[in-house]
Amino acid sequence: MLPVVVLVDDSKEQLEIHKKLLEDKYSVVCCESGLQAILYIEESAPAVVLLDIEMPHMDGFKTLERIRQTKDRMGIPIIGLTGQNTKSSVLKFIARGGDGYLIKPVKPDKLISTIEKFINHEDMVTHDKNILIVDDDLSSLRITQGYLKDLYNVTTMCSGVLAMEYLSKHKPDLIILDYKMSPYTGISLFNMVHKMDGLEDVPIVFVTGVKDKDIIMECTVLQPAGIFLKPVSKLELITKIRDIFSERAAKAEESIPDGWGMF
Amino acid sequence: MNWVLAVVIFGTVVSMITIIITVMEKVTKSSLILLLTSVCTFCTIFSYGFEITCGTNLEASMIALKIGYVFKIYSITCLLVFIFNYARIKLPAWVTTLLLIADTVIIAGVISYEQNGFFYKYVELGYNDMYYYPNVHPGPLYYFMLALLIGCAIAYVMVMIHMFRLSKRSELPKMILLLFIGILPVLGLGAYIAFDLKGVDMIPICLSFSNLLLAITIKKFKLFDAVEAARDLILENTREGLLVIDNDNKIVYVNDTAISFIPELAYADRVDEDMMVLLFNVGENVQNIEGKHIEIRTSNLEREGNILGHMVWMFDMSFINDYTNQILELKEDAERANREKSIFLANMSHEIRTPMNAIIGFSNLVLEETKEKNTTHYMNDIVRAGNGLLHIINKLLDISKIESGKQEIVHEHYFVENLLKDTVAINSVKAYEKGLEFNVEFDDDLPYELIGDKANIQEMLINIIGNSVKYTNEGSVTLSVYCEPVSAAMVDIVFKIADTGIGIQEDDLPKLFKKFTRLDRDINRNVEGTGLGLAIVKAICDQMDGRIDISSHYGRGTVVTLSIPQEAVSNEKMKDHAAPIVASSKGQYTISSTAKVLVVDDSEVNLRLSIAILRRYGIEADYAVNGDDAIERTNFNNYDLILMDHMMPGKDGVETFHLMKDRHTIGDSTKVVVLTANAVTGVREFMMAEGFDGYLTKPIDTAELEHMLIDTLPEDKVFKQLRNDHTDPEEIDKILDIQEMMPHFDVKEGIKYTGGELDNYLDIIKFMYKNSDKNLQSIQQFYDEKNWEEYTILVHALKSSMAGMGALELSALAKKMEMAGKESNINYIESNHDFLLAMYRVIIYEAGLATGLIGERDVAEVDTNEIKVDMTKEEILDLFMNIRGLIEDFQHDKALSIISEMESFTLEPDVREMVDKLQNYLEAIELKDALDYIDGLIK
Repeated sequence: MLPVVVLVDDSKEQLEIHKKLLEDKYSVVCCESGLQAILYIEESAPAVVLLDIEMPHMDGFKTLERIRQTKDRMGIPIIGLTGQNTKSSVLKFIARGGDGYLIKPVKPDKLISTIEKFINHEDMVTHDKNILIVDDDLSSLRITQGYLKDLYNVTTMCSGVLAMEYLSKHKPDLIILDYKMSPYTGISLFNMVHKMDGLEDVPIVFVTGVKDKDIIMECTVLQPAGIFLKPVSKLELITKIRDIFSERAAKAEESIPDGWGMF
Repeated sequence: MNWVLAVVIFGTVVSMITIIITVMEKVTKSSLILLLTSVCTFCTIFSYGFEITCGTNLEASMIALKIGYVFKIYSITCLLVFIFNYARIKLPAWVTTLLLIADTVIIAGVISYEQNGFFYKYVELGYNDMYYYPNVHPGPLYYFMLALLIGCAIAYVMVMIHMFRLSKRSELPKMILLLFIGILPVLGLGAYIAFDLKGVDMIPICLSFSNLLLAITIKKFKLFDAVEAARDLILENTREGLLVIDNDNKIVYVNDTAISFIPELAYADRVDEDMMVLLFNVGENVQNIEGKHIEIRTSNLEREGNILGHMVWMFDMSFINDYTNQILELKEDAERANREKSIFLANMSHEIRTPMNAIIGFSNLVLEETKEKNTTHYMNDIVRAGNGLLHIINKLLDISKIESGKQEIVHEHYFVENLLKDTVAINSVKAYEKGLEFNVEFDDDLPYELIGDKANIQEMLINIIGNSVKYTNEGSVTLSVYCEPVSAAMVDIVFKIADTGIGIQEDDLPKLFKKFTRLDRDINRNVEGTGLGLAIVKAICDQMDGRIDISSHYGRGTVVTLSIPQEAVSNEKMKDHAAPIVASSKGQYTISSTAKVLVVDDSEVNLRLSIAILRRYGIEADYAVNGDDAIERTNFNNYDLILMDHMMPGKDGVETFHLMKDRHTIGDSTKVVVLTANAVTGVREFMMAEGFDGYLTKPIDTAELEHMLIDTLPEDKVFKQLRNDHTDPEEIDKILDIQEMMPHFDVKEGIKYTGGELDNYLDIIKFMYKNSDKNLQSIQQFYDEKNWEEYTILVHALKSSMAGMGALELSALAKKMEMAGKESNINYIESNHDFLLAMYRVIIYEAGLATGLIGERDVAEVDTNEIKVDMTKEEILDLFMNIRGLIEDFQHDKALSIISEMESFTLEPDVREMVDKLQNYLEAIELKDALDYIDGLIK
């Protein structure tokens, strides 16, 4: 079953050109307007959407918004298409929730490689896990982010205060906490997080730059999901995170009671 | 019943009572002896009673007499012993022995008088109208006994007199009683002989009365009260030694402990000269006696203003020795450990610097080579971290060097002007970066030349000024320098550094110079540092015999005053020589040079590094990898400057240098600077002594290198540009006019790079105008032909030339085109080629305008508004609105990646600034500031 690609453009020629390029590898659906596209997408979810930004009536932005608001369609990669003279719109498109962009005229190989990139993301199930990293040292923060950003959705915070604000509105799947911060230390943040509604079971990993027995003891007592010593090895970190997630998944499966079907 | 018998019975009873009383008293030696005395007295009386109630039975009464004598004699001996003991006078052993022998002899004589008649010649029955008694006729031994008795009495009396002298007034009655107790028997004897009392032996009778008196004395005067007993106990058993001597140095009392300290005291009866010196040495009251640590306290024994003798207390303080030794050992251990650590670190200097050199050097190389955005980002972080680490390591090595004693203060001639110039150059940058004013003032009569350690003075100043800048967030840092004469040959050079920073609290002032201490306050939380800076300053200052003073107003500012004595060379003043230092300059040189330079280093890495650095100054250096190679090169080339690494296999730097000189492959005009990673003092002097013209440490500090280049390169081959504002108002006006005509140029920049003069600049612009048409056409031609190689070469050249003229925007774009060309990013080139040429045309047009050449040729009027930008201001603001939403939702990383996309866009300068600013906020994750900024812009 070939992956479905939806092309949205008000120019019939454009649609034809792109369709010709793609129909070998994908199942292509052409829509001449935003409305058409939305109607189709509501029915069945495609793998990727290629959306012309400059369209009359319902332009690319509105279409993007509508798609994003549609139930179960939030994760679909949407690529914006724009002309030479309207580069600025591309950035706005991304800011609004688009996943990528192409500038007309698009070279065939570029078109295909971009679509490939977004389709393959589907298989990376882990990419929808959210990890929060809190560290007041920007270098460490960037390094850890660098390690993880290809695999997970990473949010970086450089202070406990900001982190708490974030956590009041979001629930990450994992938190990586630096030990030595001020004014809230890693330890106090740990405790605060686990006391917050809904966040009690979020796994927390400590990272410390201080190789001190007392500090390690302090951290261990709280039973975090893991403790790392800076400098952190990328391999070790990723392995640990994977283990944590798979453990959780296994537990989650076990805990679904048999009687669930009754409801 | 006769009265004698009555008395005898009375005496017996009294004796009994005395015994009982004595037994009830506390047991001391004295009381025991007295008990014995009482018992003997009792027996004596009792026997005498028998003696005079035997009637006509002479034999029986003689037996009673004999028995009585035994007790009688011992009574008296005991009494004597008692009084000696009570008076605490030691009876020498031989005396006691003699007494006992005498007693025994007498008793033997008494008992055996029938056989030998020594004691009694004969005895007959006598009657004295009261009773029958043995009438004795004394023999020689009898008189001996009398003599003994009298002797005892005398001794007794003498003891009593002695006690009189030592006792208090209140004790007098007691003493008198005691006296009587002792001599009563003798008085009785005297009466017996004088009054020829027939058959009435007075001794027993008197003994009874003595006993009575004794009983009274014991009871009334508490002869054996508890205090006395306690006193005895204490004095005998105390761990302190006690010695009491009288005014003739005779030993009155000495306890056992004192004897254990000074064994001689056991058998001496007086303290000899040596011992007097030992004990009464006023200055030193601690003596080492037989290995023991004895403290001696002496005092006078006084009574009513008269000194009766002296008391010597001896305390055994040997335990202190142990503690002291332990402490000394521990202190030595600690000091040794600290020294060893310092020596270790100082030796590690080279080991540590070498890899640091690699990290920093290679990072910089990668930075130069890479075009990748991410790589650049990461490498910048590495370089920053590496420099920070190097800074800390340097500080640590400095302080270890000082502590391990390896730091030596050199005494070299130096020019005060240079000291000031360098200080200003090095330190003003940081201040300006923080937006602070950096002011320099100095006295008119600062000397021209001094002898001292310029480098270390600078080290101190860097640390102090660095601190001031670090802890000052707004305002200024002011350096004042003046001089105070100390003597004919010495002056104190004084540096006063005042800042308007956060200040220091009074209780913290003493802690300032301690190692590793930084004042941990909330306002200091964001300041980085090792805490070693001021400790280093203090250490160096102490070594130079200088003084440093800090005063501060918490919250308002600090003033550090550093005063260093230096040797004066002459009376010449600095102001008489050469150009005055521009006091408030943002003084920095940039130089470029056409000099011929040779770099010699066995490490290819270091070679590349050095060459890359020199390239920045426009110098394309030759290189050699070893001494022989270097010599070869100098054979064929005349170099202006040779940078010679010292540590090389085969011939080292020094050897190579000497060989070059010997073989005349280098002349006087060739300067040779030695490079070494070894920063230990002593090396510098060594190198200078070898004849080198200069000395640089690795990793190479750019400022130092610049100075070295300025000093060593021939003047005609160096172009220095001081970043000075032109002070000539006419010039300024002209420049402003020109600038108005060339909006796409930064005229000031252009002037900087073309020699500093407006006219020079305009000449170059003119030249460019006349010759750029051809260039424009060539670029277009290569583009049409898709000859990207040649295209890139031309664009590269355009980049440099435009930068040199201050056409920065065009230069930046040309640079991007060049990079794209190198990466074969044809897409990018095609997208931006038209824009590039459009801008180039505008530049040419403006050049023509400014030089007045427009009109000589036909140039299509270019509407400068046509320059395409990728995003207008409105579009940017629109985008920012969307980005704002992302930031609010904590998706700042996504926002950042969107903004990063714009790095390759062409934007108007003020728009670019907006984007950059927002990017900075997001990179630092200052979300609130970012939101506020966006809101501010939208208004």
